[in-house]
Amino acid sequence: MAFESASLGLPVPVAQIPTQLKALWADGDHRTRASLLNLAVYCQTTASFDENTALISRFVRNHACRAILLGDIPAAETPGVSAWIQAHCHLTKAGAQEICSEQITLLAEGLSQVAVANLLLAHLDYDLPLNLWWQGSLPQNPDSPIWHRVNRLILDSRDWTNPADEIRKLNQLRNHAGARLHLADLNWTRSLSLRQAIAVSFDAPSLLGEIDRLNHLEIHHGADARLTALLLVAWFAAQFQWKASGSEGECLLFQTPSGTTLKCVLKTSQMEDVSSVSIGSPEASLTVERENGSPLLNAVRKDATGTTTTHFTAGNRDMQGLLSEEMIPGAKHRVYLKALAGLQTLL
Amino acid sequence: MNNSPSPSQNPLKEGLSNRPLPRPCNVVIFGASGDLTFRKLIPALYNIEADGDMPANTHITGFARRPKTDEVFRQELGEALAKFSRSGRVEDVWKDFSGRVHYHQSEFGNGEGYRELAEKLDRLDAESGTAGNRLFYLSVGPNEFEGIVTKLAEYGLNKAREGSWVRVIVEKPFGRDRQSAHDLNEKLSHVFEEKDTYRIDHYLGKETAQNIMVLRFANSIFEPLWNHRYIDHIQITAAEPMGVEARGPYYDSAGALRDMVQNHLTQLLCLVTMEPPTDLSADSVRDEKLKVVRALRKYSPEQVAENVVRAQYAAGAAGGKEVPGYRTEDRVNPQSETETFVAYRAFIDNWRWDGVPIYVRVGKRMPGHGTEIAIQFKNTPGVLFNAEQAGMDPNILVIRIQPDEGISLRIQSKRPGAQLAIEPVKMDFHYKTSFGKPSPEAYERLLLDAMAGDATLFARRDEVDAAWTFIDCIENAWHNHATSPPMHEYPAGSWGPTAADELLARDGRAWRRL
Repeated sequence: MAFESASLGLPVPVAQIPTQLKALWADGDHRTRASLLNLAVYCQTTASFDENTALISRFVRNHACRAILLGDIPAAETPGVSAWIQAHCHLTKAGAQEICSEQITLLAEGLSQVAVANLLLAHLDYDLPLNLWWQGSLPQNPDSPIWHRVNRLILDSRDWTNPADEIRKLNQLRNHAGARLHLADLNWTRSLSLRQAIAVSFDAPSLLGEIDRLNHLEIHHGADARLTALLLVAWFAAQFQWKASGSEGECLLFQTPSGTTLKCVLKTSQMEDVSSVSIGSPEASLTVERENGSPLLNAVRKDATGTTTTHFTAGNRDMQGLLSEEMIPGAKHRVYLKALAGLQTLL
Repeated sequence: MNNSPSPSQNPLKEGLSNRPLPRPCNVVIFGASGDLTFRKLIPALYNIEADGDMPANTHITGFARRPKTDEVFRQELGEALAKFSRSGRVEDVWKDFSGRVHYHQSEFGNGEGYRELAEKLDRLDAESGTAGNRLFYLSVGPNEFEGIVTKLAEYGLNKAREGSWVRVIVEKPFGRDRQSAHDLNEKLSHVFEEKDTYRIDHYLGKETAQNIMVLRFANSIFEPLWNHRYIDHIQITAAEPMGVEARGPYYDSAGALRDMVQNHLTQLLCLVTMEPPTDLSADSVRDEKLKVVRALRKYSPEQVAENVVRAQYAAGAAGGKEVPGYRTEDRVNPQSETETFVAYRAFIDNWRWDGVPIYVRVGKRMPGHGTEIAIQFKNTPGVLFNAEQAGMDPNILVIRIQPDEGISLRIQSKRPGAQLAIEPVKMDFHYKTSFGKPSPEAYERLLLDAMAGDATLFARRDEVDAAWTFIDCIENAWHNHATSPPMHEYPAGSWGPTAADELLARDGRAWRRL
């Protein structure tokens, strides 16, 4: 272990974590411990400890939890576990009691997958859901006791270097863990404001009535956001029931349920994320775009009656905002799974 | 026949929140020099911004009579914010936010002021992409409503452009009886459609009030018990230690029944007793609340005397110091017949609540401060433990609306030891500590909802109308009947007159002490 651990709090022997945590609250007059969930952050490098700790510190202001930052270095020569504890506290208003969340940091070196899983399971807050944020490539072997305990698996498909392989592993995990494992892809959440603006714009009868006649889709995206764009294409295809029918040059081709051929083009731009989505039929079209850095999404609808522009908030999509969004339950998981299934056919 | 597809057929909506999106807009506050603006509205808007929920580029314009520059207005608001904002004032946030706050000086009846306002809003729309979306907040007395909305119409400010919206938020009091509320609604309806009219009741924006539906309909353990078979009675209390303070003239013309019962407490009563709505749309929820108000038993004057107690506070002690009686308060009529305390027994004449009394009380100069709903369950059968220990306390579920928002459930538990002694214990849920962050202020939620076009937490015209019908029965018995029931007195700092205690004692029950 050779890294700067100052941000991780008090170093403690693993066996003493529970008692040392209790000691944190011994002077409970001014501080209240709050916890509604377990947030475990799994990473395979100590280099992200500082950044993750800073993110946890911001996250717990809105989501009281027990955070467990778990660094797993299986290739370490000397097996061992190091641990640190700390409390992240904030005042709800001047003069009020401080509200605190605990963070346990565990560094597992040279341990087996099962041993790492047991280490994590042993330190969860009792009877609260487990949200596991898996940073990096998913495990090859899903045979770990942890997957039966995880309620929500948070991942970021934008970091996938081999999407097809990651989807394969993800499917394996889901088969192993069962239906209760909820997937939360931060990359999917990144496009939430865009999808909401598109969905609301499609409430207009002039667009809704054209669903069967849609024939073009064009998405502009930054160099690192191709997978975000492909997920959007897969979302359209799943919701509108298009069937992938090959490609023509740079175009992806789809058949709509009414037999119309739809051409889809993805273009790389200098902008960040997905900057523009245009979809339409010969009679009506919609373009939703965001200028770099603008807080607004502009939705421009063109139909027989003319052009209508509507503005939507682009939303705050930093990592903390994405994580917070994932904590809101809803039916998004089901729609994501449909998009993910479609994504496989587009890779 | 219109064959246009409806939004419910939009497949892209699957999995996305049903909640409409708040859209960038211009908020115009009429009465921007008033207390409400400084204490509630601006802090609420600021906190929406600080939480990152403010629709981008939204501007706020204060419309008021006093001459003032934007800079002075911002400075005054900034000072007030430090005092009244739940999250204090963070300079970076305030700088961004205050840069979008403007002041517009005009008399409410001056047409030129509205013409200039229209120009200013058009300019802001063009600069900020707010696209003509406008939210007018009438933070003024009801006597000003008509003049303002008429001028808004005269200068076309009530008309939405294609793809945008214009809404109006109206503060209470919404009328002083059914007829005046009807007249007010009529005037408003000539300028704004009902769907664009938002009658605010800040109690509905409180987190715990919103949680009532969640508690009832998202938990399987409560709803099966939520009826006359298991519930003995319900108590709704709104107590405050303050007197009328600076509100003497208004309060003396309104009274506790109009000021609190017609709106806030009736809304709480509805939420706690209504049937499950078919969905969470604004109209489905409001339809169910309306059914409750319509089913509230209307009393004859004789029944009012039997079921309703009114009282005024007399001189007494509050907060450790002597305080005057109501009739000697500043700018209150010394012969005033206005009530500062009301307690009544209501019945909802429907299947679910047959025979279950709902006791409601509201008062000023009470010993404690708090609003709560207490659901008292029927006693267990008088065998086993209930036979061993006579007078065992009932289970009570308490929903605390304010302060210290939360829920507690009183259950029976065995005291540790060899002896079988049963004592009531409380399971407590506090919003503040459970979620680790303060609940948003009621106005934050309501302003965001109005920007989103979600009227669920606002009163609909027919709800207001039905609530006044219930209130008018009582007011008529008090003021227009030969044998009107007496006005009782209670010492300031007490829990009300003995007549209120007797109201429950007749049924073998007692008020809870907060």
